[in-house]
Amino acid sequence: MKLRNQFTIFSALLVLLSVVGVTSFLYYTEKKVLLKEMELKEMATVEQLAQIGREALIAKDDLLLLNYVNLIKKTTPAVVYAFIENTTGKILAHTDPMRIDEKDVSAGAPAALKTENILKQNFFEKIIDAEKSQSATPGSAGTDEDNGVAARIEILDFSKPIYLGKNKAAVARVGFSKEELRKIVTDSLSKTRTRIYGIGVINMLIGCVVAFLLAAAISRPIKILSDGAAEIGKGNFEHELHINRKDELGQLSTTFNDMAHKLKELDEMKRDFVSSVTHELRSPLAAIDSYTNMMMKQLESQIGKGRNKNQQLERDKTWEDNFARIKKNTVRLSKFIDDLLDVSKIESGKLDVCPENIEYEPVISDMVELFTPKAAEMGIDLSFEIEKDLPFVFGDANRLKQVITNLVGNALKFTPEGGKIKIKAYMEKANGSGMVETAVADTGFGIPEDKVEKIFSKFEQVKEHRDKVKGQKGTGLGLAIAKAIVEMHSGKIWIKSKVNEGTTFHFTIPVAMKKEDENGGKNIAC
Amino acid sequence: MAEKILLVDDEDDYLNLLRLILTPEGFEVETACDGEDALRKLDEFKPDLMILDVNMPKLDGHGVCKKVRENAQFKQLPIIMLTVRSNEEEEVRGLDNGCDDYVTKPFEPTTLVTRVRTVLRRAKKKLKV
Repeated sequence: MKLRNQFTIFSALLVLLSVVGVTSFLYYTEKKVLLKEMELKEMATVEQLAQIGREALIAKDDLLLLNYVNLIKKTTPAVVYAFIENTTGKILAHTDPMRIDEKDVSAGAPAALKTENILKQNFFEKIIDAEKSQSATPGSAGTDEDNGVAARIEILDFSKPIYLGKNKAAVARVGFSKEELRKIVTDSLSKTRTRIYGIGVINMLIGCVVAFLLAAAISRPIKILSDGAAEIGKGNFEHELHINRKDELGQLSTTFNDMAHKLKELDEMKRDFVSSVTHELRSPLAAIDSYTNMMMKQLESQIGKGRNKNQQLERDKTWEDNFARIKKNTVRLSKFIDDLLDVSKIESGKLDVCPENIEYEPVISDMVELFTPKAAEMGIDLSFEIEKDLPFVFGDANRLKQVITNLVGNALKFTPEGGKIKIKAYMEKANGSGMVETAVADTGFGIPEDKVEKIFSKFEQVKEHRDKVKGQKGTGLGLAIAKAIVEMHSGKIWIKSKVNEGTTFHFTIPVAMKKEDENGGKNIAC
Repeated sequence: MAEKILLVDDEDDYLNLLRLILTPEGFEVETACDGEDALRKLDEFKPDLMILDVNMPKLDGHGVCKKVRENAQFKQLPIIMLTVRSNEEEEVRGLDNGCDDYVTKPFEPTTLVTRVRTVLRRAKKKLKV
């Protein structure tokens, strides 16, 4: 998983956890506060009733009491009943007018009559349905009761004694429906909950966005670093990382650039070294080669003149053979040095390719002619086939010959006796591409799929195959050079291969340019 | 009269080789081991042709070539440059500096002799004109 996504998910989870924690904490405190507030309100209702009751008792104003009791019932919907009774339990005023002057027989009565201070009780009470008794006329209330509309309700009852002087004169009692109370709490809490959820969701969204941005901010330089490392890994030491940060990532990028710089220096050193070594190797080798040429020529002329006695002639022939061997080896060595030099030129971008409009057929036929004796000696059938009316191509004949030499040389090396090598040249199938495709197909060992990519790298050969080759094994530079040359012609090179069936190298080069374009092309390449 | 060739190369091996190839072909040969030595011997020896190596210490082949062309007496002296193979850049530079032909190392004796003869013949034609 991407670092950025990991970061985002991790931070989002953190935000989620904290939001859930904070909101549930808020919710529970809110609930507690609400319950406490409600209880205080309830107690205040009783206390106020007691206060009014006391005043009414002193003033002997029953009407005030009745009015107030009804007022309580109206203003506080949760109230089931409110009444005042004297110390014997006789009801003086009641929300239900039918109960006035009756004796209080409710479950809470004994405790309420005894209490000296405010008292809170919970009990179940058979009460005429609050709504019905409220809507019904006093006359019909009795009928309702008779019909058994009364329900058992859970009651929260508050009692407060009323003192006149030091004597307890009466008790004020208010009963709340617990269900109603709960409803009020739930209603109010559900509002709070919606609010908290809203805030929570907004927080979550903001948190996720911030987490994503933060993650992106942290992971972007890491991505730049990893891309940069990959680029440098590919050999592009010019690549420079730009991370303007003063933290560890910034330091890392600086270190990285330093490393790339050092690598570049090392690479340049290697290139210079290879270049100077090859020049230094070439000079004495050229001397050996030239001397050999001279001596071979002298021997040839001596043998040709036939001046020698038989014995000497024989010796000269042996010498001629020996010189031929020296010559063969110097050629092989100088070919390798040339390849090395070409590679170092490719690396420094100094390989000279001078394309012009040329006929393609001779390029191939010349090379086939050159390789035919060697192929015959190895028991390999080498042939070529060129499409009719193939147009001229825009290429450097010598360099293209080098490509074909390298590909055919490669095919010869890895094709066993009795095999076939066929070169084909034709217009590329994709119409209008303006490219001539060349295919060099062999019936050799084939290249395993995982090695196909690497085969064009310097010094790269398939090891198991290399061990099968007798004599000259080659250096693994040929294909790298071929690739570079083809690419300098703006062509492509690729392989199709099946293990134990053979390999086909394909490459494309552009067809000849029109006269006016030709100069432009030349200027670029030379 | 045998045609005279001045060979200039800092490597003794090449001087020797060139002498071994050219003497049997009937040329009179003198050698110089660097650019300055070559310019000195030019006046004494008065060659018909100079074979000049490019890579030399002190004064290199291109430098010698320029100096020779500046000297009115040797303005027409045919010069063959010796370069290391596949160094087209140097060949072009050599021709720009006024050399007549170049031979790359390593070389076939026959090629060298043919080039020498061709350049001499061309130079003679020029003189007649």
